[in-house]
Amino acid sequence: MKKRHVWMVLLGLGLIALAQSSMPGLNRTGEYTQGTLGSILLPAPVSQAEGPVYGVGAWPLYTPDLKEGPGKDLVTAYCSVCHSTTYITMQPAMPAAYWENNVGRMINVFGATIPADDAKKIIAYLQAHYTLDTRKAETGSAVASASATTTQTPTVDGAKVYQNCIGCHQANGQGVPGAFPALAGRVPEMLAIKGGKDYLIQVLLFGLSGQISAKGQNYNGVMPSFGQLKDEEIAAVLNYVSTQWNNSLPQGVGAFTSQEVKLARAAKLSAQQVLEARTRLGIK
Amino acid sequence: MAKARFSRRQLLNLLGGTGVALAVGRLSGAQAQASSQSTQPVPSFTGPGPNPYWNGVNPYVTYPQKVPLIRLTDRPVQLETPRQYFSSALTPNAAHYVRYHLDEIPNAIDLSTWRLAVEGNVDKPLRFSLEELIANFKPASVAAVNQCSGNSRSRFQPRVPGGQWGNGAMSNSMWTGVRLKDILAAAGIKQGTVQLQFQGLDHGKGPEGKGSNAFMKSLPVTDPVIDECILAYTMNDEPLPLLNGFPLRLIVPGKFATYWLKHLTWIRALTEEDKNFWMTPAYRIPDTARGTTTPEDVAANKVKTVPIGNVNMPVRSFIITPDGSSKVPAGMPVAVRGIAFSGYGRVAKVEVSDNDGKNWHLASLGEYLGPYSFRTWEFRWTPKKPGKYLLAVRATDEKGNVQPDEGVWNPGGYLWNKIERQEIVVGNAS
Repeated sequence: MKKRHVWMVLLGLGLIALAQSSMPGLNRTGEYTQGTLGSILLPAPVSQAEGPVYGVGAWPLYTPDLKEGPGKDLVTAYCSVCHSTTYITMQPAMPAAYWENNVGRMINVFGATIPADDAKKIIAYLQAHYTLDTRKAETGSAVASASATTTQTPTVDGAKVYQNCIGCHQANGQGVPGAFPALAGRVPEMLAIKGGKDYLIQVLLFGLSGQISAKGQNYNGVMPSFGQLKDEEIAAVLNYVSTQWNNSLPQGVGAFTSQEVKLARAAKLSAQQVLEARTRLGIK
Repeated sequence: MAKARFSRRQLLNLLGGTGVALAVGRLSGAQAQASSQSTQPVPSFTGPGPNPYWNGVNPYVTYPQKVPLIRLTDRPVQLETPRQYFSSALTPNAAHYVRYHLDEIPNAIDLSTWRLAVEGNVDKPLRFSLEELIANFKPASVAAVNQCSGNSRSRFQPRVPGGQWGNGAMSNSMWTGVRLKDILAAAGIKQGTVQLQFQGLDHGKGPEGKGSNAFMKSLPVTDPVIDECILAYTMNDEPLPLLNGFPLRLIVPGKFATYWLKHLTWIRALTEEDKNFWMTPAYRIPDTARGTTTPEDVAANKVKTVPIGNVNMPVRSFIITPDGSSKVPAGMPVAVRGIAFSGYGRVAKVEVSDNDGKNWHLASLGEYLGPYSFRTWEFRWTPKKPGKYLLAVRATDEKGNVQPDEGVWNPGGYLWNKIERQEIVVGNAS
């Protein structure tokens, strides 16, 4: 009896081993590869306010970087007034003459105000990088990685970046009355002002100096520029201070994106000019 | 037509196109769609040959009220619908494609102050709240395909600039709202009116008077389509997503989407022809059969043009599955499925070929939702032997219009309706 059981167990194990060594038809198996995690994030549900206003947040930007080269900044600056540079990267490989015609069309038909010298440089840049001959080397992965960087904002930890700020604004966002303004309860008020979002980006990028008042308190100090931080880090820390300590983004105000920071950098303001911007916006 | 083809070939040769380029041209659109089984993305651009993929070559992105769609441009927003969402006659709202011309796109609309204005050469200028439009007029519905004039522009040879859409700049919805003619009757269109102009809340940063400032379109007041137009406040029985025109969109059944104004806010009776940029020179087609011409004739200034609203959308059909992402075992009966539509009326017939159009077989048609809707079709196919098969599909509408096997060419990249193909690899089943 006992002996027979042992035999049956051994037979069973043998069959399993046999099946594993020959799985009919199995050709390749157990292969995995690294996918592109986070290139499309699952958006969280949104809460809707009652009342007659029907809205969504800011339209997200997904603009890949243009190719490096002289004239790139001019292209970004002038073309982005009306449309993003996806209008350039989207085009098929066109003959060089297309760009000359098209820049002319932007000026003459659509009323773009581009000085003739700059228009020449813009055309030269587009012809050097976005024609039949010059686009050959470009691959999909180049654009894929470029567009990935603009969506990576959420992977930078805003709380870590905030370590740069706690010396003055404190870990609880309360600041130091009379010396450093509070962020808790304060950031959403500024975001609710038209232009307030851009202003906050400017304060981080270029700093702020001079006499200000915030919530009835006077301050006369200096906020240093944090322009050395990456676009993603500045976006992340702004999103952090906008959503910590019971702060939240006001209805209709989207999260800060690295793209917004990148665009704001071009202005190259002084800390004094940021103060003037603050006065214009009527922030108190 | 023969002349046009000759010219295209000549031009391709000039561009350095060889026999390879011509072969690619013949198979345009026959490649598999971008597939999740691939670890490589599609290239970032295509050309000088036609885009060989079903959709355009661009990344997936997310937008409010939308599933991940294919980003053509991000400001203004242009998003293409992926192929998979065309397996049903009605496109889900969250997958409905998006096309704006100007970058000031409403993020929020306050219905306590929003009003639809009817003005210009009318007896009684009127303003309606959304509440009044819903309550005071008898609702009407129409299933209608919203298709961008430049859908499939990336197939053109030689390539033309503009939105490089694959086939996904189209969507179909059941639109419900107020009949335009009821609104016009309430205001009283006066004698001397030649066109009705439509404008929405979307606008641009360009100087006033330029196409970069305002997007407006006009239809002749005598166009029979006016009687079929609907000011839609629901889309598949849901509010319109903001990116598709909340709170009100002009539906012009059978016509291209350029007339389907989003966020519709102004209707103006004009006593003179509208000459704004978006009527001329934009959105015009050669006044020729199928709207086709040649680069040479355009360069020689020989081409007379008319607004694209002078024609309806030509008959088209698409293979949605199989999409080439899987092989089919020989001897296995599989369903070939897709959609067809025509701006000229009901789809009367859909035919499928499994040998590149040499022989055609009748497909069975799905539910009829109305003359301007997508109509689904299905063909049972059992490939007998292993090998590469070139499936093709062509539709015929009730007016007898049949899809041709020749592309068109015009500088705007409009009116593409060539027979579509899909290559399928059939393998051994044992």
